Amino acid sequence: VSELATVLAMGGMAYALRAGGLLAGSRDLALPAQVQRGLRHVPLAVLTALIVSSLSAGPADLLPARLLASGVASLVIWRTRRMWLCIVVGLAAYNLLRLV
Amino acid sequence: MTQRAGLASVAAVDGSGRAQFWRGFAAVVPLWAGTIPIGVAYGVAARGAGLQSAEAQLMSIIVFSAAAQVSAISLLTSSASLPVLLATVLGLNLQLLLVGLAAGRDLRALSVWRRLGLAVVLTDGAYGVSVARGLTSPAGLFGAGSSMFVGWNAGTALGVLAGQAMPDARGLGLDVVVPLTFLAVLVPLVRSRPRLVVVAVAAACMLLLQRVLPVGVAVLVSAGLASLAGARLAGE
Repeated sequence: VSELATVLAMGGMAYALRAGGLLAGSRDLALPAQVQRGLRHVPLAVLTALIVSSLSAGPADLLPARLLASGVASLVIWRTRRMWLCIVVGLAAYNLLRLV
Repeated sequence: MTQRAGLASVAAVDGSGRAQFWRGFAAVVPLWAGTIPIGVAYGVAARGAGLQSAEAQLMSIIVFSAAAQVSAISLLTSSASLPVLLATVLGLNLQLLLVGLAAGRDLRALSVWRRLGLAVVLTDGAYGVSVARGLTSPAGLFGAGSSMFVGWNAGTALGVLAGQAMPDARGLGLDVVVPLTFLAVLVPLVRSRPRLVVVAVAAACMLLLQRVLPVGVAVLVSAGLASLAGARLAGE
């Protein structure tokens, strides 16, 4: 499958979710509470799994550096809530650690 | 509930859609401080992963979801299959369905065509801001969503340009931008114990499963198990 087709398919999926909710919302469609609770956690769970996989994916000898840099970046975003600062500090920490 | 009904009727009385649009647009501008850097990070990562500039930008226009796009980049580099990629987009954007349901309930009077138009720019962030500011009219929500759309695509364009200017991204340690971007989105979401449990379960499952399953499948199975754990915990 070409990259362009992949991008288009992803766009179709994202639009279907947005439009689906807006169209269905006009009717009184109530999902069971248990299902709603489960759905609410899905993005968080997917993000976590992706963090683990993307940290594992880089060069193996630099894994400790990536973990440390991610730890520092997590502290930054937790304390400051500034996304750009989290990325900049994390990237700087990683590059410093790679030099060591 | 009464508050919501009140807001809807205010919007119906106040017919000036254009003013509502720009109020919604302006309300989201402060959020650009978070949106643009993530857009830049995505644009750089997309170029680093070998995506064409036009494809990277197109993705920001039609997918318009930071988490889904950054994950697509990381899954494309590990050559995940299309169904797995789409399932990940679905998993990361289920909240859009819920937001759409909630917004759709507020906008009962809106025609189908206008709903389909509004859907292009609907995000949870824009919905949250417009509800917080009392701008639940269609025009207000459309303005808030459009503002997010502009910030996200401007950030992407900057990132793509930066990615082009840097010939060898690997030398700059940019492989860590993807996990950092995820962390920037994830950490502020972990506000309660059930959510912490979801994160812990997902991480533990992923550490085990990624050794035996293709990455994309491992992501989906881990996320499914962790969501179930979260749902059970919150139900108690």
